[in-house]
Amino acid sequence: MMLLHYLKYFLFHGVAIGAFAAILAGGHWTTVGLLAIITYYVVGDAVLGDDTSTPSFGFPGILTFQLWLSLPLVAAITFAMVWSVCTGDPLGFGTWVHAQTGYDILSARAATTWLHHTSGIVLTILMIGIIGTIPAHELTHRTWDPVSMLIGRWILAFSFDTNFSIEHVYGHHRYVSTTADPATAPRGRNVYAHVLVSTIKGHRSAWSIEAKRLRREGHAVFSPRNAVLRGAFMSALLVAAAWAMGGAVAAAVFVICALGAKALLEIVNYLEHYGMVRNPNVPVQPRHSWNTNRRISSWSMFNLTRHSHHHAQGEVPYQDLRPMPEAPMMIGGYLTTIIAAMIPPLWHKLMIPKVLEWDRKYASDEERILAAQANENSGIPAFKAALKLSIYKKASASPTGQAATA
Amino acid sequence: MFSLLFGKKPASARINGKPVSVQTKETILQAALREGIDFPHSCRVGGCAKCKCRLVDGKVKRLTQFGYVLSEEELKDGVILACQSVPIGDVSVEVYVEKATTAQAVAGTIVEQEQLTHDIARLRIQLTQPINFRPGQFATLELADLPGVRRSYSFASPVTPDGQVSFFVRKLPGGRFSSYVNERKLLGHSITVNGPHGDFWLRESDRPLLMVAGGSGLAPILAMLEQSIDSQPHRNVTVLFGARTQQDIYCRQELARIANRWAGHFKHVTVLSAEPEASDWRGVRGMLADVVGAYCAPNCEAYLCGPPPMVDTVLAALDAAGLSPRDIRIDRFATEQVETVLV
Repeated sequence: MMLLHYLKYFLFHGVAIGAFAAILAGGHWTTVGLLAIITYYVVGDAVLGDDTSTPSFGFPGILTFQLWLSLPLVAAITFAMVWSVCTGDPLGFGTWVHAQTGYDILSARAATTWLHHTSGIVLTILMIGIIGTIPAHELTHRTWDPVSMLIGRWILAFSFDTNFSIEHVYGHHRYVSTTADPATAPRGRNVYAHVLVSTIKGHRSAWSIEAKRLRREGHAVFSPRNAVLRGAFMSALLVAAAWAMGGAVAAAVFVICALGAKALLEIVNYLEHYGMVRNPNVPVQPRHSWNTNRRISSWSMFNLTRHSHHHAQGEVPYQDLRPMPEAPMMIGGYLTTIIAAMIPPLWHKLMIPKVLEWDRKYASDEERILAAQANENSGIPAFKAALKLSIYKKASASPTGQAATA
Repeated sequence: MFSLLFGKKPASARINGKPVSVQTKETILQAALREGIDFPHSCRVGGCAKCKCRLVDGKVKRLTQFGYVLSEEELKDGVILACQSVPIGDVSVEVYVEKATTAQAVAGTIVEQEQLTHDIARLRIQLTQPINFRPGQFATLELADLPGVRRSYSFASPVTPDGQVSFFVRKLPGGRFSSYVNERKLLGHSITVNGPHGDFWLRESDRPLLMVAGGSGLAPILAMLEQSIDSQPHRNVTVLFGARTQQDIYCRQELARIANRWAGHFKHVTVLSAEPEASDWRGVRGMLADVVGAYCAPNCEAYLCGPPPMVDTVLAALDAAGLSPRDIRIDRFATEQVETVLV
């Protein structure tokens, strides 16, 4: 049975290979592949329920290797996408595949319309996010392991976001669910605004964290030691590679995929902490993240779903994260929740009651005061109307609450 | 030398002079929290510097670059991040602990209420912030429904990262708190946990261990054993559990699970004092005090927890068996006395 626990984390590699094949197969197959993968996540999570098991893995090295495989997979999918919009046959790849498989991907490509190419771009964006950024997140937490860091940062280069390896660990984990955190969405903000604001503030924060470190360690800010500059160079190299493959169109398609994948990451940030508040002086608790234990999301996303434990104890590797079924729960699995977030009226209809329940059920007295301020500033009538509730008034009257406002 | 290279031998860290054992690959922060030290911390990934302390002696392996959060002066001064420092050999650190391991009152919500037997209920509580305690210690509970009624109970599980704690509450005739907990549905109700208190906790040693529990006294014993699976699982353990009849037995599965994961010899004996003669019980019968001598291995250390009459008689029996009082640690249920006196 333990074997299945190792195998379940290989589902992810299956999805990646499926996406790679769907893009190369061209034509309607690309759209079919995209729809199949979306269905797999959305319907799978809806039907298969939760996985709350916490097996103990005797060979964590296998799991680390699984994470490393993410880099070749993301590179292959992105290569396939870029190749599919080239006019020539860079590296003779199409001829080679034709010879190996008997399937003429060159003619399939020639017959692919821009509608199906758009499906390919959406699929690539999803895959850089799910197959790439999620393992990269796990890897770049392992600051003590240079191999994991290097692989993780190269994966992040595919979404122009090597800065994530700096901002996420030294910024987001420190400030999560406070107003100082770029990645925590305040009440009332819609997801599209969050993508822009969090991207800009996140990159700015990474630069200042890195520059500060270099100054403290006595190094020049503009030097090869600067991980922000090195990361920008890595991403530029990838754009150049796409250009070399198929000129401006290929490079533009890659840039769209990379920016889309970065936007996807910010959507995920949006739903992981939307509307939560925390007194910065209280250590991060499980209640400061939206959690879910949906089976397919958990298996295919390396337990990113068990977010409550991840933030409460950031040093724990993904396979040992606990489900914490009493933590505040997201509305569904990851892709389902992402889709809901992209429709702001639906999102707020679903989330306002959950956020208010959070105030009632999870928040400490100090947090209720911060929550009342967040309601006030949300610009959303339903949040403002809730201010009449007694929990916020009682909180400001309590001794800890008074300390919070003092 | 080899132990230093391969990091196999557990190291020791002195935190403000207090010795703490450090397991293989464990960080200074993890070791301190495991030992119940209220070490300041927050993000645990090297981003916030709440856990910064000064390395006075020894060497550590750094899991991240400290320059991200520590200033130039701090770096020169030997300041390190406890959450990102794994000791290489023995180390000594100084940390400014505002209120060193003092008890605090923390608000919580009851997230599980389960009847373990006809008169013992288990409460699981989600705290708004974790309390650092050593398994074996106790806390004072106060339900929002019963203001002013405060009763002490031992933590029944070790510290967990989700800030949840559990307690076993045995119903006493006329006991206000214990009756309330055993009779009402309390899911979602507010409760204040004040702790930790007491110095009943498991000392590091490799001598055989004799755990004697009566009634709801299994709570601290389970917490201590569960924690020791990680920290000292090689000791030989005998758990003697005294109850009245078969219907008073509980937590069999929990004990079996601990036994499965225990590296040393693990023996678990239930002793029933009022089981009907004709019943199908094949186990040991009698009072704990009558049988404890037979389970007292030479050179063992004993931990007793239960109602005062049980503890006193077992103590006398252990004395008669030649165990030195220095090797016996006791937790008499003060609460049961309070609740009985109030009847």
